[in-house]
Amino acid sequence: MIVEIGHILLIGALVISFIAGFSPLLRFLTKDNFYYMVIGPMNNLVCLFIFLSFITLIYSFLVDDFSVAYIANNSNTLLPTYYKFAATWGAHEGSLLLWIFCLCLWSTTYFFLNRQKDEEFVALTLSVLNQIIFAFIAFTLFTSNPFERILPIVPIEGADLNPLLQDFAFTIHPPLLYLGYSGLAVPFALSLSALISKKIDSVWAREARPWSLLSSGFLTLGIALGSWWAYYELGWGGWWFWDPVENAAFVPWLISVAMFHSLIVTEKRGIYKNWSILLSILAFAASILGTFLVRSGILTSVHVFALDPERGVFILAIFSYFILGSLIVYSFLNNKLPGRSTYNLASKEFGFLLNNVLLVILALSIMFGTLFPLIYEALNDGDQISVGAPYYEILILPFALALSILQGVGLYLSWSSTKQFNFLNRVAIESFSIFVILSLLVFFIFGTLSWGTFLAIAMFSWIFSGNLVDAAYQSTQLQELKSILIKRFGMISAHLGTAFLILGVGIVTTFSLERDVVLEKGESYKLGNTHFIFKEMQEAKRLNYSFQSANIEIREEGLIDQISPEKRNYLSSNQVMTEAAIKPTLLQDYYVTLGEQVGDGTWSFKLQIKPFIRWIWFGAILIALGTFVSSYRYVKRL
Amino acid sequence: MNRLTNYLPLALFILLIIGLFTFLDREVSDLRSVLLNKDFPNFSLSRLDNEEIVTKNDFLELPSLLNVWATWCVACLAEHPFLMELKNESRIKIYGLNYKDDRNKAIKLLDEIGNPYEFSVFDKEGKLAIDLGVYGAPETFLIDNEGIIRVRHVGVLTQEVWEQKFNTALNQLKEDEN
Amino acid sequence: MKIKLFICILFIFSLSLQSESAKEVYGFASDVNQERFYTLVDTYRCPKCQSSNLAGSNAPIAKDLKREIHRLIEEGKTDDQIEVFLSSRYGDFILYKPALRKNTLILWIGPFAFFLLIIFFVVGWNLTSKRQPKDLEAENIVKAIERTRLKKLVEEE
Repeated sequence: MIVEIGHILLIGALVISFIAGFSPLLRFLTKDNFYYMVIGPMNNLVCLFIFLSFITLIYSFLVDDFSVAYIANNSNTLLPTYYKFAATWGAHEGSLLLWIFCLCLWSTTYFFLNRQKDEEFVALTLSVLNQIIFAFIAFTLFTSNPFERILPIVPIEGADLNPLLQDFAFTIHPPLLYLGYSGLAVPFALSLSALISKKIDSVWAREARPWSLLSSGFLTLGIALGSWWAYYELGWGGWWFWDPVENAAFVPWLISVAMFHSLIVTEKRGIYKNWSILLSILAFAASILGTFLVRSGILTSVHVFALDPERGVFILAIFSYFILGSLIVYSFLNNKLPGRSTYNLASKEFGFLLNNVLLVILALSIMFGTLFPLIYEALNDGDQISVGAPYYEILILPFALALSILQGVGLYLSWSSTKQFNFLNRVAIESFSIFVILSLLVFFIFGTLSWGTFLAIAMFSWIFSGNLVDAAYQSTQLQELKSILIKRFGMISAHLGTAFLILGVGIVTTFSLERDVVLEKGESYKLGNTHFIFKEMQEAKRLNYSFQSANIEIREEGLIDQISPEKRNYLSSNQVMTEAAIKPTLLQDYYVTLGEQVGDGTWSFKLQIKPFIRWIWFGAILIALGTFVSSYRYVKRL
Repeated sequence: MNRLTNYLPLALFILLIIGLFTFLDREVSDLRSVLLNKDFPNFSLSRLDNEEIVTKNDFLELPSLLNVWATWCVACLAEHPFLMELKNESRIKIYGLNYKDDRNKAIKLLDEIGNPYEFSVFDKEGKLAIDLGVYGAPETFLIDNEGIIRVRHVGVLTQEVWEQKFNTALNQLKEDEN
Repeated sequence: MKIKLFICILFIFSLSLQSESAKEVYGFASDVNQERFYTLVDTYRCPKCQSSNLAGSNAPIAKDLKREIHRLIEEGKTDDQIEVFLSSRYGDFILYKPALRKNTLILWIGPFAFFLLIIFFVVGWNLTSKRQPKDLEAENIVKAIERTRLKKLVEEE
């Protein structure tokens, strides 16, 4: 019964969101403002229905209602309760409902924050958002209904949640990521609304900025979580794989960063309106395209949800409608006003322009690389090719370099034309000093240096100087520095975050150590300066799996810790999973994976030392923090 | 200039959509062999049933079918009946490549369910398989009587696959001869 | 007597040195080779897996290919020769770094060419376009209006 209620609520939301989405048409025909006023309440009703519908699905998971096909395929009576809760988004159908729910959160929040504002503008924005909600509900109901029943034979037991997903990170990674993806719909809707009501201006830019910052922040967290999760879950120590699905999240992120930077210029100088609008459309397009790639079956990936061309066609249709529609609106309703101010090559404007271009080309190149195997196959008579990490690593380097340089000087460029250039000297000297100190430190710790590390340290020093050190150096009083820090906290945090991320990447790529070894009980192996000692094997059982674990002692000058990598056998599906054991410290991670039993009491292990890897996610958190703080400032003023 | 930049994104997007719609029809196919129309690799391995060493010269009598199989391969059991039928096909000889298997288990299995092969090559380490670009079982190759690989199929060998891929190739070879 | 003792100690010492490498699944003659191995297994794709490199896969074929790479490194083959070995058997699919060829040129040159094109176009457009006094006036009016709107909005808060 509950399931049917959930189903009906979804259908109700479908109908109401359709009406809300196309109500402006009625306003256009009848000129009655009623059709604007009614969109807000309808939107709230849609969101209420979606929320309740979502609750019914969660409830059904918690009570093990295996008469529902989706639940039978993704849950199990032995599954711990918090995983039953998260299993709601464990596969395609339920994750769509989560996506829609996230979008509803955005649209309701937008409504409540903008109730007193310009009626037409808000109504148009909400109607676009509801069209998107409608499209996704339609997709869910017609091709991927989570409420479908298996009748008349109800299974006694479910198939179980994929063991790879039975992990804490799974409870928060999809929600955060989807908040990011769906959040990009808001700046998109705002752009369309502004185009239609002819209000492309600084006010619009000021409105759009916090929403683009917020969604970008959620994407940052979602992606960072995904990376961290892959690192400790997949067992081979990698943290970014340039897998199509990872790229599908990274591309919209890059564009969202370009977008909120571009909006700064549009707000402050009234130019780059075309850029800002197109970027908001591109960001949303990338978000939907990512959804398409993951769920249509045209690309293979570790992450792929539903290999179903029929679903692919549907998403592609949604994609076409919104992006074609918005681009047509853009082409025909674009402000023909010459919104350009004069600026030269050494100006903030040009710096931001360069920033836009770099980020967009990088994003498009990554997308192109992801799709290239398909294109190549189509044009070369079925020959298959792969594009992977080595390619993307080479690709991103010059862009990262250029963007780092910009990040270091951006603050000091002036609008229109920079007159004072002595900042260059200061920043150069400051970053050189930091560069030398860091290089010496790294050499001292690791015993060697490489071109890659030099580059990473150089970029770090440059960004660090240009965003913090120089400001500190220039301020004459502590009070002055404090107020600068507070005023620019968002920017400083985000830019420093990129610096730490780059440094972490550079160091871990150069100085990782790895060995595959076979050890008897009691034997040890020395990797670098660390002794890994295999103490003993143990066996035990948990709620829904049994496991063997190896006690490994880690010693350098004395005991660091004891960790236990495991091999788990999940009872319901009989799948064997390896759980890596990680000891994180400030400077490096110790990483051990259990291999196979080679003899009596002898096992194979993979031992790794990953220096500075945590700095990557630390950097990402700083970026997200900066983004959220910046957006909060705007939301407060809204 | 303004005109161009106005409509350019729209035009590019239309191209993209057309491209994506075409890709939807794409079938995720198995890895195509790079060894097609190349010489069968040299090797020197023991037979499965005895210690006699065989090389590639040992299967060049007629066009031959080389079937990669193992006792741990469940799908191989599915194609086994069809292979037994193929024994009657006069145009080819069937050989086996026993892939990363236990010798005794393999011999025993063939005793139990029947042996479609003239003989099987015992490739314990999977080295010949690697030289052939094999990445799992079952896989089947068609080699012509000059030792050139003509067809490679990944997966279970069925009547349909035989008709479409192997039979067609054999007919082509016959024609080329004449 | 002393010599015998010395030899014994040397022997035991060398044994302990060897024992570390005896535990390694992939033993190498040199550290350089070892590093090469771990770098290479990251750059080749597992032919059987959906999307994984050799390092991250437990598939039998991945293990076999790692064994082969180990053998080839120890035999003294260069990275290029190893790449040829693998791609001549499994095709371009196994290479995560696409080979530089006529039909992959767009992948390698594309991004940078595109960047240069855009920058050229943008910079050119900005530098060469002349500003008409009329445009400037219209623009200033628009800006004034926007500024007033913005001011009103800020005052309202």
